[in-house]
Amino acid sequence: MTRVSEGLSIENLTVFSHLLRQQGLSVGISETMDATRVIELIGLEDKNAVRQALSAIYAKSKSQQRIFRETFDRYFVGEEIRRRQLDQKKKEREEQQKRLREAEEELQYNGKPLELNSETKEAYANLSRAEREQLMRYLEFSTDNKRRSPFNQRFMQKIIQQRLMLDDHYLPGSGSEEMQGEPEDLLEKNLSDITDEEVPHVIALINRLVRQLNGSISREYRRSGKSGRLDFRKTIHESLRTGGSFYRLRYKKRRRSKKRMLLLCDVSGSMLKFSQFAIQFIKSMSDVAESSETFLFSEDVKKVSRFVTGNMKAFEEHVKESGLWGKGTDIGGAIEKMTQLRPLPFNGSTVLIILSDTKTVNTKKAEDQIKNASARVKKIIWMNPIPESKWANMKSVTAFKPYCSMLDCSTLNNLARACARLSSGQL
Amino acid sequence: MNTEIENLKRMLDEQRYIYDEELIITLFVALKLERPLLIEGAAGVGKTEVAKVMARALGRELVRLQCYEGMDETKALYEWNYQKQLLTIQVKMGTGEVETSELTGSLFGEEYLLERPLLRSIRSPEPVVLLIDEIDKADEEFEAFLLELLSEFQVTIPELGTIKSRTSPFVVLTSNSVRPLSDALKRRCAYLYIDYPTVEKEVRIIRARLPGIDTSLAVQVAEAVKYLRESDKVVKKPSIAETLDWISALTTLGIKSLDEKAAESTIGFVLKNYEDIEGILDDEGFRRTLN
Repeated sequence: MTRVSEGLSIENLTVFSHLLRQQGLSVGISETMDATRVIELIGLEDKNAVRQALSAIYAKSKSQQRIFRETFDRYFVGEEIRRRQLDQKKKEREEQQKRLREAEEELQYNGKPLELNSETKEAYANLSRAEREQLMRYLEFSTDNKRRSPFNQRFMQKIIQQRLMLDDHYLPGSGSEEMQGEPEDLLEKNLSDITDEEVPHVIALINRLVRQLNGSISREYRRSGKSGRLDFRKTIHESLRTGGSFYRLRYKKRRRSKKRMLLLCDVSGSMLKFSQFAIQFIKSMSDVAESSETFLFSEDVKKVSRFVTGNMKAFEEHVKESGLWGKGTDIGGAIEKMTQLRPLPFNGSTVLIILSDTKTVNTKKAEDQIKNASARVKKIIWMNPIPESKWANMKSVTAFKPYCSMLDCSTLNNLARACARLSSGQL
Repeated sequence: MNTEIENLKRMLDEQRYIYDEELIITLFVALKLERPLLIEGAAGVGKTEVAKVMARALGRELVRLQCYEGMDETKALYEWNYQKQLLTIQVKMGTGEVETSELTGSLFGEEYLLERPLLRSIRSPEPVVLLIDEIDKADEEFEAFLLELLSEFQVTIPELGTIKSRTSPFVVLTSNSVRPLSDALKRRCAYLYIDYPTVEKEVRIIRARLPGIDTSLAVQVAEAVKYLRESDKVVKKPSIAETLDWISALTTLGIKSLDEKAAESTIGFVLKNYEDIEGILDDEGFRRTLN
């Protein structure tokens, strides 16, 4: 075993690097080699210094720093602490076993053990004595009914589980053990995982991001002017001042024209929340488009007014009343119906923005319609709430991508960046 | 404690720079591994200042490249002095002194090369501190162009060939996270995130930068600024420089204590948005932080 320093080996660092990789950090061999050098330089006496030094090498963002610190603290603990932790875990395991045995003895009906799954037994075992007695009384009361005879095990199990859930104790899938992160964490949280309680924080963050984006876009520096093509007419005109010598070259500048924008929002069930967030972004950003129209779709397509899209609550109510919510998704049908509208809602200068996860019935028809639409509008931009890493496995993404610019909008940060690109004319 | 780390601390102390252990260790790692240091954090937390202080502490020249959207290598690396080349052609061709082939060959020499910050830092005979400020404002293409420079400390100019760095510059990149930087760039750098300072650290900064300031006023201002930074009503969060401006304004007006009246008359030194000022002056929590 190659020793870097007392108590730490390259093997240890390699395992640590592997753990970080499992936590989602991008760690390669060069990081491990750098870590080895750093340990040689600063030694191991000061744990905080080692932690900070390794953090500078391994973690490349604020959220990665937090993951790194948690992993480091779990992995590099002193011998004494590790022994204490092991003792503590052993003790906890023994206590838990004892509680489970007691629970199994108690969870009987007519002298027969109840057939409950291990999670329910564990949840029962973790209750206090008073709570367990209360639950058993409830159980007896609920089943002391001759009509329920013969005894039904599944019914009993259901009663216990329901009662435990009512008491808000942990059961698998109840979500009560979810850790509450910092509000800033919402920026990188998958939009589909945002809970109703987090929505107000998300709205506040969207407002803040929009104000920041609007500010940063208006602060942008003038382009250097040399990235465009040479402007011959202006260069020749300028050369008249220097006797025909092309002393000053003039370049064509890229013009930023405001776009005519058409939003097509998928509001079928799970997509509603994403569409709400995305519309807030797009609509709140000044300078994005000189005119815009919004259509909602699921199995059908409907136009919505500017007033409705400007308010998240009104938007949600409108969608739920429109009959579009909770239906399936038919992207091809929605585009087809839009093309039949008169006057046509788009033309050659329109940027069509589709807010959808690409999941649709009849992918072939949708592909044909998107292809057809791409030839009739200036550009199609697809804001997709599914992370880019999963696109390779999605047939619908593969089918639609050749006809549009597809952007990963799976998090608030990604959504903000996509809108910034949209607003600055990079798309 | 490592003597080299102690030396680094001493050098920063001499510059009257207030630091924490996190910054020192990260600077030490970047210097020792000869890695560029990428600093992220909100605007105004002192990211650029780190490069300036390091230049003074190490006794090196600070070469600064301010990034912006649309920046290309002619502004960052080098450019041929087109006007000078044109004049040379006209003068020499007019006198008939030189052959055409000889003339065109000489036009791409040192004499006509305009060094921009990146090339200057690489060709400098003495090691420099290279500050690439607000890299997130530059385009992704420019970021890719930087990779060769940051990993090998060398650049390639078609007419001159590959130029290798004579000395190793200490490179500091700053970013306000306007857009995410590429993994390739991040992997080449040591990373530091600077958050807004704690009240205690900000008081130390105030006292270091404005000696003679009343400590109780410094604490009051630092606490009020902390409240402003944490408030949802303030979009443009005050920077450390704005804290210093605010306390300087209060001192100039002879104000000894930060009360509501003093805050109302000087709030423009710390908040720069009308909406922010309007929102915060009506805020009950902010009033409570004042005397």
